[in-house]
Order: sequence, then structure tokens, then C-alpha cells
Amino acid sequence: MTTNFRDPVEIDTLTVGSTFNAPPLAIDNAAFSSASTDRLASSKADHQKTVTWQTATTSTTVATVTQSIYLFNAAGTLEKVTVRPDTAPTGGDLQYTVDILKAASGSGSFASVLSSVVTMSSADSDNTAEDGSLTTTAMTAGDCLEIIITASGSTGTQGAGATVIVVLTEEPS
Amino acid sequence: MTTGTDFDASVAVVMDDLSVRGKLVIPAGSITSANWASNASKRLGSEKKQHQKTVTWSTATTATTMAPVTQGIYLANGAATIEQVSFRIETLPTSSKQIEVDIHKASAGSGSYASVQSGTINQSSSDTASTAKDSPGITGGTLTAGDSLRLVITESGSGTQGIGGTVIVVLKEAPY
Repeated sequence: MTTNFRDPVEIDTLTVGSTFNAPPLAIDNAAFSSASTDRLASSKADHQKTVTWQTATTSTTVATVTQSIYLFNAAGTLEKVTVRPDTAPTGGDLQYTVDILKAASGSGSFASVLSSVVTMSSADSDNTAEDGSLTTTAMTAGDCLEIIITASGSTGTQGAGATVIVVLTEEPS
Repeated sequence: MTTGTDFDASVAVVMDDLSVRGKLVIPAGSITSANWASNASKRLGSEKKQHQKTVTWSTATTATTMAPVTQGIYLANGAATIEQVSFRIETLPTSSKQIEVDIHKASAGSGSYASVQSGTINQSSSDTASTAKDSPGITGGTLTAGDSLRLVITESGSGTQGIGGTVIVVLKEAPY
């Protein structure tokens, strides 16, 4: 039997013995307790993380490097890759590219997760972030991420100072 | 509405708003992500959630030979628990050479660090390259605000040392 309440209902204490169905978006921050014992456990939420790589200083000339930057502990999803130059290359053909690559557990074969590398050249502006276009986003536990920065060119001034972020969501451990 | 009223109905549907002035007691697992508001003013605040974080350390490049190092890698901002420590190396050591990874902890005001593991994570020629190896056990993984973590890498044996290492420390931490 179904009992419908067609007007707003106010109750002091409501105990639901079986299934509690709330409409989408019905529960907001204010409804959630802030007591330390009531916090949402990390095991009950996906976690957004930002992996950051940067040059040693904001005036360090950007140079070629390949470095591991993340190791997945659980399944995850890549959300965004962004490169921000402090000082972009100027005056010639000196430039650098940024790529993010992935390899599965047990494999040393890294493949790009981007449709193309993010290129920073004299056509780019200081302090202006540029996003990469992700083509591979699904990650599994044990996957490893690597950054490859490739500097090239011979004329002008190479960029100095750079920050790269990889925003991802990961399941709880 | 009167007090102490039982609704002996298999399904009760509230067609309009439902306001509960006191406690709402619902079966475990009743609330799913879809129930949560996602707009900026109503989404779950970070202060109401325990946060999972991954602290990552890696060699300067993937072609860098592993070497002993002691380096600070984390400062706990709230009460936390270390969930896992893992170590992946791209090229294994040879012969009897091995590389050992440990995580040490010290309290605020103390420079006395002690391992949080039951043993170091060792990668040697008998392991598998590019495959993460987990800690043999976390024995001192409870952190309080102000606790500091150090990565301690040591080596032993003879042969060629491994190349390109990545260490992660997964922890859950109370909000700031």
C-alpha cells in the first residue's frame, strides 16, 4: 500500500525502516553534520587530486626532462591537463612542448593521454594557462603517469618558469 | 500531525517538501551521489569530509639512477592515517644490489624520526620492473596535526643500481 502526503510534511524525528529515496540534489551541505565523528569517510567518496610539476624556480629556463609524476593506487579518471608559463619563449623559434603519458602496471611502455602535446612558443603569452586535450582518461590501479617536456629551437629566448597540473579523480583506497 | 503515529504502509511518498526538525534516521547506504546537491552553494563542504591524499616522490627523471636520500615529503595539517606506501621502479637493480624505501615520522617539535613500516620496501633483481610494490605493513600510520613525514631511501649489495623510481604515500586526513 502506498500512502501519499500531498502537502509539505514536518516531522520531529523520522526513522525509515526500509528504502529511503530522496530526489536528485535533495541533500545539501547544510544538512550534513560537521562533527568530526560524522564526517563523510574517505572511503565513501571519489577524490579529486591535483598533481603538480614545476620548474625549480620561476626563473629556471624550461629544459627537456622525462619524469614520473603519479602512481595510481586505485581506478581513476584524468580530468584536465594545464600548462602555465611564467615567461613564455620570445623572439625566435625556441619553444617547449609538454606531454603526459601513461603506462600500465608491469609495462615500461608509456603512451600519451593527449591528442597532441601542449606547445609553448613565442606565440603564447606569459602567465596564461593552456589546456591539453585528453584522449585517454580511464586509469586503473598501478597505472603510472609521466611528464615529458621537450625543448627545441635555436633562436630567441627559451621560456622560463612553468607549472603543469594534472587534475584527476580517484577512487578511495 | 500527532505524535507517535506509525504509518504502516509499504511505501510512503511525500509529494511535496519534507522537513525533519529533529533526527533523520535512514538505512545505511541510503544516500548516493545523485542525492547530493552539486551547485556551488550547496555541495558538500571540504570541512565535512575526510580527505584522501596521495603524496608522490620521484627521481628527477625516469633515467636517473636511484640513490640514497632523506627528504621531507609531508606535513600533516590534521589527524591522518597512512593507508598505503608503494614503490615502482622502471629499471631494476642487478646482481645483489637493491634499493630500499622507508617512510619515517616525527611529531611536531621533534627531530626524532621513526619508521611507520614493519620493514622497508625493497626492489631488487628478483622483482618486476615497472610494477608497484606495496609496503610490507604500516605499523605507525597514525598521524596528528604537525607530524612530519620523511622519505628515507637506502641501498645495499653490489651491482648496478635501479633507475627511475616513484614512491606514493596514500593517506586519509581530517579536513582543515
